[in-house]
Amino acid sequence: MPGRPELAHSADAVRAGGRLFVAGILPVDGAGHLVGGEDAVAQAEFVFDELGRILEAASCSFAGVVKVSVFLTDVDDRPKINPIRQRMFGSARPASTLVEVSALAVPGAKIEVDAIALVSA
Amino acid sequence: MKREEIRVAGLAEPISHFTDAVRAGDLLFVSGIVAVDGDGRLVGGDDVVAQTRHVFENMRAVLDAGGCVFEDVVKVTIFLTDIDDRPKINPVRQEVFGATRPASTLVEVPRLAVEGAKVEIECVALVPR
Repeated sequence: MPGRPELAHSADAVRAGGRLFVAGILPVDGAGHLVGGEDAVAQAEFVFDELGRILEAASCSFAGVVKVSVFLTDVDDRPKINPIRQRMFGSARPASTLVEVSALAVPGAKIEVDAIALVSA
Repeated sequence: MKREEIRVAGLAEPISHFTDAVRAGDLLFVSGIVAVDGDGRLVGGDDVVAQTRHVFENMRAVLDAGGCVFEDVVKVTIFLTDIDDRPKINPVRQEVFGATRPASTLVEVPRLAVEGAKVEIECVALVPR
């Protein structure tokens, strides 16, 4: 997708039949620079906005997301980012796994989110 | 393709904005499960085997609500806070899955979302026709 950083040998998302597999999204801009500084909430806002843009580009929406995986470098950030999840997903609730990890691929990143969604018919 | 959210009565209220499982067509995506009772309290103390047994009990309930059994599971992902616990929980996996062998990923993580939880397991299952 235009504007998305090129971090590794991966695509932003891959469509497989009626499902869309979205690669892990980090809080980095198109040039690969960290967004949101040390603020986990600002980072999460950006990540979920990016997820929304990727879903839209593939004719999907938050309402069609069936699974998310959330990786945090500090699991205590979970309650802080939950309001963002509520706002983005609205009445839809995906399956979810959330774990703490020791480090993410971009230094300073505190959150990474991947997703699986249904492609709208 | 149909999307159906599954919430199992008797399991703890999800601690964030998610549900127990979502069916997407013929696949059932089960959220990461930790060893908590219906009130969200940790079960099994610091015994990883007891925790794992409880996780699989909860998973059985979620699979059942989604029309699946352990034999339908195609993939599990296991997160342990101590990778050395792997051999201890393997007999529980053998017991639960029997002759069925799912694809699997197992990694160590520093912490899980529930304090004291030593194991979290998610899975994907194929919904029988």
